[in-house]
Formats: sequence, structure tokens, C-alpha cells
Amino acid sequence: MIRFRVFLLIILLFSPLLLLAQSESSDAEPEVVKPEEASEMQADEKDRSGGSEGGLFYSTWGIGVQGGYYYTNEILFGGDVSSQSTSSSGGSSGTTIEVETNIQTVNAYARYYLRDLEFTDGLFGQAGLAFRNWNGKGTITEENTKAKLASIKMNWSPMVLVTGVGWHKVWSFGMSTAISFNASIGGSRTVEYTENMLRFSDAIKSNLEENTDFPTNLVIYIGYSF
Amino acid sequence: MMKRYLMLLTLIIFMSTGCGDNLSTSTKDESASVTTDFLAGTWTAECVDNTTASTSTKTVIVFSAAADNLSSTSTNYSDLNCVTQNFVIRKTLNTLSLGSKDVTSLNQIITKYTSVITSITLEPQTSTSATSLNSSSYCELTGWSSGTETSIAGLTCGSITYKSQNAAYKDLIQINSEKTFIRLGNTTNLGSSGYPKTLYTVEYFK
Repeated sequence: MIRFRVFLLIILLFSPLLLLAQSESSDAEPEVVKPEEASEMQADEKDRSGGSEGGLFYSTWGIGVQGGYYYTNEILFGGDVSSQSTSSSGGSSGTTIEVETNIQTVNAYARYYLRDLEFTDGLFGQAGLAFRNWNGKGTITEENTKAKLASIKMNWSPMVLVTGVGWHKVWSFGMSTAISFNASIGGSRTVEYTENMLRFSDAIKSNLEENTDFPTNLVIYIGYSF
Repeated sequence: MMKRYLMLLTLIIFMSTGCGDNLSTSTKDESASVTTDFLAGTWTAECVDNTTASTSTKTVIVFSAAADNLSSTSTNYSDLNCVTQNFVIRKTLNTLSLGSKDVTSLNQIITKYTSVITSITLEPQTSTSATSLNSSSYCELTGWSSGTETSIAGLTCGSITYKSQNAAYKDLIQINSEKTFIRLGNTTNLGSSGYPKTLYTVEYFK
């Protein structure tokens, strides 16, 4: 997480400089677009106002469906629904550990495409609200006596702000793919530990809390633009 | 136009760096408390076999009504199913005092107790058993006789050295939260504080 934040900090510091540098160079020497390049760009740079999008995606927060409407060529209003349920059981040293998580998310967002820069066509920033039904629980029991050793319950707040950046490519034949990286802000999470015969050590607690924190969401989308 | 993009990107990236859910945690202690009222009575362990020695052991623990005295009777059998008695080791403790909840090095929730040893005896149950004990000078004694209790307090018998009479005795009790069984500490594996470091896996049921 620390490495990730340092990486983002570097991007944060250098991206304005990079863009400014490119802005200055473009002011000084206007680029000449060759006719064949221009025709290729035409396919991607089609005005999408009034068009729609639909498709499937795989993400950190689950698998789901996504749809969107191009309000203008630059602005898309979209939404998605995703779901992910996991359950696992394992154990060691005479104990059984059972874990179950349910993550259902409904997300509504507005997306802004940076169309004016030739090299960024498809690059977008988005912000919206996610409505979450996220919960998880885990129990540790003794194998031979079935006695409850300890348990854990997790709950997430139902609503959270989600912002992100991504890249969206629409081919001339309508196929549409996108990858985006989103982060949630303003949510809360409660973790309730119950100790029956076993005390949770600080190390176990922080390990559990780290492994059940999903602040970011990587989304890989494939769909059709019409 | 460029400045707008720059601001948008910078804002999004800046927001992404400070993301995540605020975490709040709570811990509930639902472990059962060990009380004298709860302990008072007879607790019996299931038969535990020792396949290496082809023997088995069954232990019964009796706490007095005030749970300030304890007697433990551990019967050794010459088979794996606790059928043919071999010898019986009896241990009695007095002035038993329960401490507060604590944890072992493995984070098992336990209650410590202290007491004083009243007696530790061994009684061969058959002449065959007595002969066997005599031939090996068990506990460095040779006067073993069937049906006769002999004190082994303060003696070393096999790999175990028993505490002397009136010596302080420290042990652990683990109880499950449903209060259906207890476990005791492994008194052959003591820590620097004199309390067992680990627990026996044997459960005692009322």
C-alpha cells in the first residue's frame, strides 16, 4: 500500500509537468497529421453523442454488467451492477476455519473523456456513487470437539463515493473495451471480533484487516457500442 | 482546455491516494469464566490410548463443593480400551485458588490456579503390575504391592518428577464457551513462572 501511494504521489507530481511540457511543445510546433493517420483517427474519434454502451466486466469487487449513455461526445452517464460471493474452509493444528464474504455493488457515475488530446483519446476520469451490500464472517472451531474458538464479523457502509481513471477503446465495428482503476472515498467498515476460547493477537487482527480491505477496484470491461 | 484536463487528472489522482474505508473495530470477550460453583463436582475424561506402549489411561477429577480441594485419579490400563487396570495414580491438592483469565503463548484463553500438594500416590492394581514395577525399581522403589498405595511425592518416576508434599502447585484450566468441558495444563512443560506453557488435549466432561 505504501509503495502504491508513493507511486501515485510520483504520478501526481510529474503528470502536471508532463502535460504542461507537451502543451508548450504543441503550442510551439503544431503537429502535421498525415492523411492516412487522419483517416485512422476518424474511426476512433467518431462523435458518440446520443449513443449507448453495454457489456460485461470483471473487477476486484465482482463480476457484473455495465451500461452507459453518451450525453455528449465527452460525457457519459453510466451504471453497473456487480456481485461476488466467496466461501472457503480450511484449517490447521486441529482447527477449522470457515470464511464467507458477500459483495454486491450498484454503481452510478458520470464519466468525462479527454477527447481533445490526440494521444489521450479514450482516457477518462469518472466519479459517482456506489451502493454496497458488503458483509463477511468467519469462524474458527475445534475439529474434534466442534467448540467455537473465535469468530469475526465485517460490515461495510452502504454508500461510498467512487472516483477513478481509465482507458476506453471503441473499435469501428462496435466492439468496446475498457480498463479503469477506481478508488472509494468516504466509506466506513466495522470489524467485530468475538473471542470464545482463543484471543486474537494484534498481528492476526492487522493481517485480517489488511486482507479484507478493498479500497480500490480494477475493472476490465468488454462490451458493444451502439 | 489543457488546464482543465490537468486539474481533472490531478484531482482524481489526488483523491485516489486518500481512499479507503474508515475502519472501526470492537472485540467481544465471550469466553466462559471459571468459577468454583462451576468446577465443583466430578469431571471425567475419555479413555486415552497409548499405541506405543499398548496401554491406556482414564482420569477422573473431583473438585470439592467449594472447589478449594481437588483429587485426581488417573487409572492406567494394560490394554488400549481402558478395560484391564494396571495401576492408579492419585493426586490431591488443597487451598486451591482461582486466578483471573489469561492467555497461553498460543493465545488460548485460560484461567490460572494455585494450590498446595497434599499427596501423590501410586497403587498397583494387580500382582503382575506390582512385580513389573518392582523389577524396574519404578520411582527407585522396590516395595510395590498390589492394592497398596505408596507415596511418590518428590520422586522421579520414569520421565516425570513429581512435586513434594506441601509444595506449591500451579496449573491452568481451559473451558469452552458452551461450558461443556474443561482442559488442564501440561504440568510436564512448565514456563519460568511455574505455570504450564501448554494445555493437554484431553477434555474432561461433567
